Amino acid sequence: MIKGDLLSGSEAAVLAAQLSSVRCTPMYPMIPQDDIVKKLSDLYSSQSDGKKTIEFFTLESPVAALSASIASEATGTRTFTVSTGPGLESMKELMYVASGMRLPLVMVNVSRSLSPTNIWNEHTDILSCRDTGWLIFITSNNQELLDTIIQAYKIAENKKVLLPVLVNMDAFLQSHTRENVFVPSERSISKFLPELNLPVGLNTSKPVSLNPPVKEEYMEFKAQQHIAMKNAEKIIRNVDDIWNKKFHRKYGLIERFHMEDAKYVIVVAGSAAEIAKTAVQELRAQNEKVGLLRPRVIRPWPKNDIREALKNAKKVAVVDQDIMPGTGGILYQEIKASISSEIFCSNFIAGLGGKKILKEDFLNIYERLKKSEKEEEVWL
Amino acid sequence: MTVNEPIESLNDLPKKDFLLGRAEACRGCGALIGLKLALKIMEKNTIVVSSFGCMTLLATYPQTVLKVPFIHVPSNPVAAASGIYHSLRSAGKEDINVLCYIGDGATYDSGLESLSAAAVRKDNLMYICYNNQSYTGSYTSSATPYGAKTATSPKGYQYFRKSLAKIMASHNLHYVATASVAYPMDFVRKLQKALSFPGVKFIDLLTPCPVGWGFDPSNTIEVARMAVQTGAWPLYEIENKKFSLTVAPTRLEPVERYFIMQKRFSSLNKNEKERIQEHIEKEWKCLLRKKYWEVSEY
Amino acid sequence: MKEIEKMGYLDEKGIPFSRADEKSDKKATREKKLKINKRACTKCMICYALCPEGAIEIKGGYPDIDYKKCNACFICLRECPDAAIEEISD
Repeated sequence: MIKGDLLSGSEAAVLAAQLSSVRCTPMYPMIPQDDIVKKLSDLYSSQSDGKKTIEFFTLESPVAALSASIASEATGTRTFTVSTGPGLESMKELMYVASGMRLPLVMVNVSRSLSPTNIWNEHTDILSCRDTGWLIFITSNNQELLDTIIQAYKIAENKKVLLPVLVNMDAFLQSHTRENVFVPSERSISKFLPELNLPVGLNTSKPVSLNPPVKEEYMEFKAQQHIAMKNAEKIIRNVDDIWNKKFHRKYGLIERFHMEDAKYVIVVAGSAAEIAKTAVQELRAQNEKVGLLRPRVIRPWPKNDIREALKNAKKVAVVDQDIMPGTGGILYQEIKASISSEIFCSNFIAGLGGKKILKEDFLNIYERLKKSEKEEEVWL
Repeated sequence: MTVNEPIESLNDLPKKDFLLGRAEACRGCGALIGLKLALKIMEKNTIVVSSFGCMTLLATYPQTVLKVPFIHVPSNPVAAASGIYHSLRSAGKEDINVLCYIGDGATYDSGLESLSAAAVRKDNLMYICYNNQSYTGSYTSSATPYGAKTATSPKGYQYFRKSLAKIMASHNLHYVATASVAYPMDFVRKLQKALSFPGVKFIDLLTPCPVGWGFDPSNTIEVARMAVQTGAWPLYEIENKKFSLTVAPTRLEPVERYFIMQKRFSSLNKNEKERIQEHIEKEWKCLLRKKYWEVSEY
Repeated sequence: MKEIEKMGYLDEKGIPFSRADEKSDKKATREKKLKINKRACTKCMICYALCPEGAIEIKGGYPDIDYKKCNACFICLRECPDAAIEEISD
């Protein structure tokens, strides 16, 4: 077996930024994304003065980091920044601005729980950004993280999209865990990802005024943004095909595992899907007809793919690592709206605040799903 | 490139204009005068950053009045200016100036954390705060003087304001100054001096607001002049920790002459006016002795 | 939704809105008109420096009002030290 490098999620993110020829990185360190900031800072100080390839600097708050990234991207410089739980929520105001200004910015989010105070993994922060107009990817292992960050620049900078991208990894389960990662060469990436060429930007030879107040044509601008998000689905598939031809790794908008004749399906996003795969393999060895569906792209929501994948299922269990208090899980609502109402769909809430999810939990979920008569909401 | 030749009189002002008129600002707006003069000095290689405030209306889709690039950032505008500075530096374009033309609401209140952090980081920014001592639509801000009537202080503002020029001086900046639109030569000279230094440079510019302060639009310059002549807005500069008054009337006018010109001071009674007069005289004595930190400004 | 389908994208022809293609002939709204008396003017340039709308230009050494930009705020009339600006009936 060919061995790759042993990289944690933070290291993979820094390598991906370097390979994508990122030039400016405004940052604000916050646990658990401070590892990324530390490694970029080491990289910056180890480069000699005349030969700095990355302009790294820190700001005074997460909102300031996003504000600086927006302005830096507007001058036509490829920019990279990071965010996490509470910081992401406070950046919300500027996230709408970045998407409305159609800037191809890429932000890596290390998902962290919001309230009560806690530094461990939960998906509520990343899923609460689904209205902002950013493309959202939830990755499940470090190889996918590295590949997705590089693909994100190519997708965002396509002239038919021009929208910012959020790439998510789980706190500590991915960011501080070392996994086997194959790192592509610089030459192959420089062919895949050419120089950034924004159609409109802060350029003294062609002066424009960015982000002015708009009254009458507001709805037309929103319609343009809407169409761009719809175009993104096709562009994601195209970029995925190109990546597969070059590097022989294909991801798609959703991941299907043992879904060919599955009657019972478990739907789970993030790094918990890796654990679920071992449970599904064990159950398949006992001839149970069970499969796994992992949504990778949250926005634009792959409604047709999910509908197609789940059309023959009898019972579906959606495992949510997030909660809308009073209503239920966020993924559950989205999945239920995408499939036929005759399919039995139960909601399982697990892993909030970093509570461990083990293989046995998935075996229990399967048992409960098989036995239950009514759709129910179960907290693990 | 910025204009470096010394400007002796208004006839020497550069003739090229980068602010095409008819912005959607109010008639007689003082803030437009400041921006017009600043852009005459800073010329073509400038990027202007602004935040929520009156100058949001410089560009309303699909028209704009600026001939230089302009970006409007809702919050933390100085962080955006830092981002522009660093990204231009990484592309090797260090000769482009960044001008932050931001109102007192987004400077004294919500943008203060960004301004303070950028001052410590020594990013090359020219910061001009156009101070109309209120938010747009006349609400109180931290720059509103004692006794002023606004929509959120109908009986007169009950607190003394802070002076941001003195706060920024303690950040060890190379150049900090106050200015007024009634003294354009003074403002232009301060601007030229500031642009010769690195790091963050701060100028607090008094721009009277006819709508908010309650006077006829043709009196804008009169009011700004009277503010300086009565000592309500002293003009000084702090260059490399050396303080000097740049416009010092030999005798201060009574502050009553400043109050009667504006409707916003109509609710002051006799005691309050005397208290303000005493405060201004005490502060003026300290400023004449160059001890600017001893008494706060009115 | 038909109009949205007809819309081009950013790369094809820019933002295709009707208002952006219209020529703007918005005239400054004013009730009164100002005029500079060249015989009294001493070319001190105070009016030129202090006009908020930038409506005063230099033509032949003398300041001159551009009536498309002037909105009659009267600051120049007040500030002229030689009383060389006057209000005329339109």
